Amino acid sequence: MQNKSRNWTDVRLIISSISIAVSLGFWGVMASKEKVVASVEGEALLPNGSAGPAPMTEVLVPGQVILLGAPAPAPASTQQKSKRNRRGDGGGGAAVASTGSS
Amino acid sequence: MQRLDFRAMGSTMRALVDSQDPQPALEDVPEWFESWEQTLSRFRMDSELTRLNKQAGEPVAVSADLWEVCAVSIKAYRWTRGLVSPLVLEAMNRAGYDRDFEGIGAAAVPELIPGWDVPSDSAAFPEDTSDPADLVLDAPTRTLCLPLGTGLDFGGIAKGWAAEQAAQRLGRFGPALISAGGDIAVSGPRAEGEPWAISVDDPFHPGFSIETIYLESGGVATSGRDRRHWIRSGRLKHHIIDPRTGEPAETDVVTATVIAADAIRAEALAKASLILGGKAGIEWLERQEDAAALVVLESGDTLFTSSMESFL
Repeated sequence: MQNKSRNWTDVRLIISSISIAVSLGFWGVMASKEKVVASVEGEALLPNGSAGPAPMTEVLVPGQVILLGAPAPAPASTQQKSKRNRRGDGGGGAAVASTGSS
Repeated sequence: MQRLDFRAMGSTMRALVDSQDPQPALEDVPEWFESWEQTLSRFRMDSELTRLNKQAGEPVAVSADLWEVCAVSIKAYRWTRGLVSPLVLEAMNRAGYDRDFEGIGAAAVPELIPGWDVPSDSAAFPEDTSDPADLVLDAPTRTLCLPLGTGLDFGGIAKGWAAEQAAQRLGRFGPALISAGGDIAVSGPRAEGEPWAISVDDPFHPGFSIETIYLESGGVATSGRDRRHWIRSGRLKHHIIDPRTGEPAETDVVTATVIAADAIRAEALAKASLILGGKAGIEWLERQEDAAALVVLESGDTLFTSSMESFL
């Protein structure tokens, strides 16, 4: 009689273990699906066109400045205007000699 | 464009030739000036002029160069009705300008600022406008006889003459400009027909200019009391002698810049207008047909003749 009751206890233990294992397995499958959905929703919150932080492995050109992950605007090219003389004849306007009291 | 800067006659000289000729005789220019200085300097004890000045009262035969400079000095005397005279050596020595300017002690001279001096009211020409008194010249023998107790000092006229001589000689190799301490002679327009651009120094701000002149030919000169001035017996002196008083000119003009047919006439007119003073000087210059001028006053104002606009 004693052996019969122990067998029943063992069966209940096995059934409990199996149900716990199945529950944990199902929970794990469901949790991984939620992570994927959260990740997609997070990307959708960024403004259109934003590329996000640039990868640090980008090759830096000497003199190049990285601002918040975006390349710095190219510097405006310096324009040097040629000086014309005031007679408008296109001759060199720079004085070649000077007069002053000596 | 080829350029050579060098020192001569106590000033900085500049020679320019608008030519690509590799041998435009530029290297000869300092020798020309050395030769003229040896003839015309009153600071060299062995110059021909010094020897002549030591023989006042006696007839002395002189070289062609000395004769020519003496002749143009008399012209300058006539153009300016006696305000520019070669017979101011004694007055210059009395004022303290008896050696090369570097030896006077320019370090003790105060900086020039607007409102530095008292304007003059002396606008009249000398009553005697004949040739320098008792200066005797005999052309056939090129002989000069100076009045006793006098001596010749050509001053800026010698620089203007030297600039003209050098520009003529260098002009054979191409359009040339010679600046003899600011007295400038131009042989003609630049190679492509353009004028030469010449800046006019600002007397109150050394290193800066107040205008740029465009000159195709002729001469330009500036006379001023902003640089060669010194203190003697507690008084500020400068090197522009007024023949009417025998003293440094009392004038409200700091610098006078004149464009004329050549550097000699430009120098003479500039000095005379400085001696006359701002208002009288600019009115007198207006009556000189070949001259254009700008005059800087000690107040800081600049006066222009009406003809000056065409050169700016």
